[in-house]
Amino acid sequence: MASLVLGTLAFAQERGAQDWPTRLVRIEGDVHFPFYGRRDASPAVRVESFQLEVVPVTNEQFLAFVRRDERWRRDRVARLFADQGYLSHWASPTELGEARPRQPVTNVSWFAARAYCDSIGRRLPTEHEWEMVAKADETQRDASRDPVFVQRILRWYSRPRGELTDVGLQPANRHGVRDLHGLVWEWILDFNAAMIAGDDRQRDDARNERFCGGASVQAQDVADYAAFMRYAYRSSLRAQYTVPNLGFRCAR
Amino acid sequence: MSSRTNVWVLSLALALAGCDEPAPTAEATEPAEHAEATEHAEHAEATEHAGHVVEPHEHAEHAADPHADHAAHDHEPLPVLEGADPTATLHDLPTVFRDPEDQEVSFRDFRGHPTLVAMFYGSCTTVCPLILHDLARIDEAVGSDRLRVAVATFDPERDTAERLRALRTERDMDAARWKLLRGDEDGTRDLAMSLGIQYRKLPDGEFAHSALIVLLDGDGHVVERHEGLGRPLDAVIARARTLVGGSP
Repeated sequence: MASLVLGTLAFAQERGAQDWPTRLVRIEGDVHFPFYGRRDASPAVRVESFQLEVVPVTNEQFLAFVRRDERWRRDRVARLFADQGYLSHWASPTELGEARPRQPVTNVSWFAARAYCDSIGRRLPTEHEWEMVAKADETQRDASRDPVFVQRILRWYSRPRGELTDVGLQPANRHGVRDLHGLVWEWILDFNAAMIAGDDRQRDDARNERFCGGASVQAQDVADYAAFMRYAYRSSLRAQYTVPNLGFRCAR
Repeated sequence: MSSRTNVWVLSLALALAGCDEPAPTAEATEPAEHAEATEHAEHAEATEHAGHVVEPHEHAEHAADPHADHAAHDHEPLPVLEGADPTATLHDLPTVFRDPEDQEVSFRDFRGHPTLVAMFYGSCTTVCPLILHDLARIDEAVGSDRLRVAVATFDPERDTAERLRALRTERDMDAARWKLLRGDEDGTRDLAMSLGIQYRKLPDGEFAHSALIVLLDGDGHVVERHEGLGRPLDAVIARARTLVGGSP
C-alpha cells in the first residue's frame, strides 16, 4: 500500500514535471542587498516583480529553437556570437545524440541564450533578479547568511564535473524555483558588470568601488562566499564563451 | 533508462529517503582555487588583468579572478574582458545605431575601412575625455581618409543627437569619418558584450566602465585592443597605418 502511494505521488510529480521547462513562477518584488554593496551605506536595490522559469532551459528546448532559427545552428552561428565549443556536446547541428533532452542545455554563449529567450518573448534575468531568487532555500526567502545553505552551495562548487542530471530533480526553493544551485551555472543579462558596484553613495567609497575591481573586498556578506564565487566566475566570462557547465533560464 | 523512468525512480528515491540533497553532478572550480581567490582579493595589488588568452573551455577553471587593480586611482577604468576569437567580425553585429544626424548606422557600414571603435558617454568627466583624446591622437598620427572612428555612448538617454553634435563640434571631429553612435539599451549592451567592455549604470546617473579602444580591419576583425589610459599608442598607430596603406 505504502509503495502504491509513493508510486502515485512520484507519478504525479513526474506528470507535473512535464511542463517545467516552459513554466514561469511569479517572483514578488522586494528589496535586495547586492553582494557587493554595504548594508550600512544604503546599498539596497529595489527589484520589481517579475517571472522566472522554474528550471533551466533544456537541450530539447534549445534544439527546437535552433531548428526554428538556423542562424543559431552550431555550423552557421557567427563567430562573434559563440566560440567553437558552442553546442559541441550534441551529435550534430540538429541532433542531440547522447545528450539527453531534459538535461539543461550548456555550451551556449550569452548571445545564444539571449536570442533563445527573445524568441519566446522572454529575456535573461538580471543579476539582481537572479541573485534575489537564488538566496532563498526551501523555506527562507534569504538564506544567504545561513551556514548550512551556503555550505551546500559551496560543496557543489567544489565538486568535480560529473554528468548533468535532468532539470527539475532538486527541491523547489521558497519561490518555487528549482536548480538555481547544484546543476549548472547560469548566464544573466548583465554579467559584464560582475565585479563592480555603485550603490554606495559615499563618494570616496563609490569611487573606490567604481574603479577598482576590488569591490569584493568590501563585500556585503563576507560569509556569503558562494555569492562571491558567482561574481568572480561571471567576471571571467565573455559573451561569446561556451562552457560545459554553464546554461541559462529565461525571465519575463 | 529513459528520462521519464529517471524522473520516476529519483522521485521515488527522494520520497523514500526524505532527501533534499542535490545530486552531485556539476562541474566546478577546485576548492584550492577558491582559497587562492580569497587571498588575491585580500592582497590584491596592481595586476595586469586583461590580455592573457583563455582557451575555450578553460574559462571555468579561471573562474575566481577578482584581482583587478585594487591600487587603482580615481581615473582608473574597469578592467576589460578577454579578447574575442580573432575570426569574429563586428560586421556581423545586426544592431542599428543612430548618428547625430539621426541616420541609421550599423557596423557593416564600415566595411572596407579600418575602424577605431570605443565606447564613452558625454557627461563623463574622467575616463571618457581621455579615451576621446587617445582616439584623436591615433587618428592624427595615422592621417588617412580611409580610417573611420566609431564611438558609441553608454548613455543614449542623455547623449541626445543634439548633444553629440555639440560634442563633435567642440572636439573638432571630422563628421565624415567620426561617427558618434547611439543605440537602444539592448544595442548598447550588445556592442559592449561584443567588445568585452564592462559597464554598469550607477545610481547617480554615471557609468562605471572599461576603457578600451579597438582597431578593426576592413572586414571587421579585431586586430588591436588598446586597454587602459595614458599608455603608449604606438602599437595601435602602427597597425592602423599598415591597414590604411593596404588594399583600397
